[in-house]
Amino acid sequence: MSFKKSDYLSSVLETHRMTHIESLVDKFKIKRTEIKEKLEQNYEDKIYSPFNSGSWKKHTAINSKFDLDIVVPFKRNSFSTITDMFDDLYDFLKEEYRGVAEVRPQKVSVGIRFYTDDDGDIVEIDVVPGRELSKDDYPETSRLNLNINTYDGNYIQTNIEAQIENIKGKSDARQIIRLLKIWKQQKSRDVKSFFMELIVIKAFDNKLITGNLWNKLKTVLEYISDEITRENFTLKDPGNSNNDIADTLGWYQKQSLKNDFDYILSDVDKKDENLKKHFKENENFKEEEDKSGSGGYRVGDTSKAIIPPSNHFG
Amino acid sequence: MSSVVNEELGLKIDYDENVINQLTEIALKHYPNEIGGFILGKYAEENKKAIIIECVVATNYKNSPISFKHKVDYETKEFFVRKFNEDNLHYIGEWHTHPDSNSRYSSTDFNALQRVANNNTSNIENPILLILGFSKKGLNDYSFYVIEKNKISKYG
Repeated sequence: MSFKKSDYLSSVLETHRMTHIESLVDKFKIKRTEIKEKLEQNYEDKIYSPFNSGSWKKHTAINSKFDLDIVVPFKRNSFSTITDMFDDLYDFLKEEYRGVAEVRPQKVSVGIRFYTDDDGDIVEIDVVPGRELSKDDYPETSRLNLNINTYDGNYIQTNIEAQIENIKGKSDARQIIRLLKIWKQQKSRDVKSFFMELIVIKAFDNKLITGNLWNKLKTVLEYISDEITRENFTLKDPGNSNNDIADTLGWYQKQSLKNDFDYILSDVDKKDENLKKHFKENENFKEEEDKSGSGGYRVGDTSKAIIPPSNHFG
Repeated sequence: MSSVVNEELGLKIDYDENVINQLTEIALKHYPNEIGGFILGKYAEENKKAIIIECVVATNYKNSPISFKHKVDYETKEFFVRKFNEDNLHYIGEWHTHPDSNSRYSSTDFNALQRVANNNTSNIENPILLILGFSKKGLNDYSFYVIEKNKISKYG
């Protein structure tokens, strides 16, 4: 039987779906709820309601590596500096989870990594604190200043809700984002998922991307390869157009990414099956996938939601 | 759990009778107009069985005693994505009511199923159709249909 690139990519996506690890996800959700409750009890009227963010919220999560994110919007007067806010949150979580989890400061979040449970599972939750720009501004604008842990003590202004909104309704782009996240995780490439997300969405905004899953991936890879090393290439943060996410990668990293994608394209061009070298199925869930053989109800690409057309009945 | 079988195609549907009761209640609330929406579920047994998990009412629609039109808008698309990603539920078909009538499909219904099956982006070739015929007094009957190669056939 001939190798079909699109069917194979669908299987890569299918075997990386979060629904294969529902019981683990449930553990994450329970912890997330618990953390939110602790934060609300501790900070009371210093914060607005914490909300979910990250790949789970954006529907771009993959089961081979994921965490859940909570954003905590602090009020303007809660702390005198953004660093104080971050440090207080870190101290609180560290104390609260002493003996049950490793709590560590990360670039913009506080990471909570619970110790391995009886099933051998590890739950990881990132808590992202942000402070509103001026008193009572957050309910109106959703804007937050996030702490960035660098030596010069920087912070960044953004709008996480706008970032989540930016990816809504873009189910084709989400498929490609998930494929590139799988690729970067399998190849251990140091590229932020947010960078991948924005560059794929930009490709969809600038190119006519149609056809099957392989056609779409190919067009996106070509776009990235053509554009990423251009001097004037930018990726505007949908949460604040002054932030250029393209700057998060240096020249060398951009060139490496271009080389990687050029190699994938030329390698697959030589032989279709070479695609398997670059995007691997999740072997843990492959058997399950193989069970759904042919016959019966015919459904095309099961790796994404089926969206019916508008319709008229009588 | 109840089952209906389409012998001709070797296809089966599992569903909970409570779903039918709930839809009848919804039908009566909208009387004398038609109402409808989407069937969500899963496939099993090498795709030979469809399991109905829930039926939802379309949120963006226009209806009358002889017509039901829904619009798959941005919110509805996001709903399908969320149901798929979080609950592993697929869109598997459509349901609607026939007030003061029976559950036989109309030519409009046939065209509607064809539209789903032939739509490139909907990605489903055998959508299920559930029709509930009812009057003010309650449910008259209900039937499940499926389309296969431009032909509708009934279960049970």
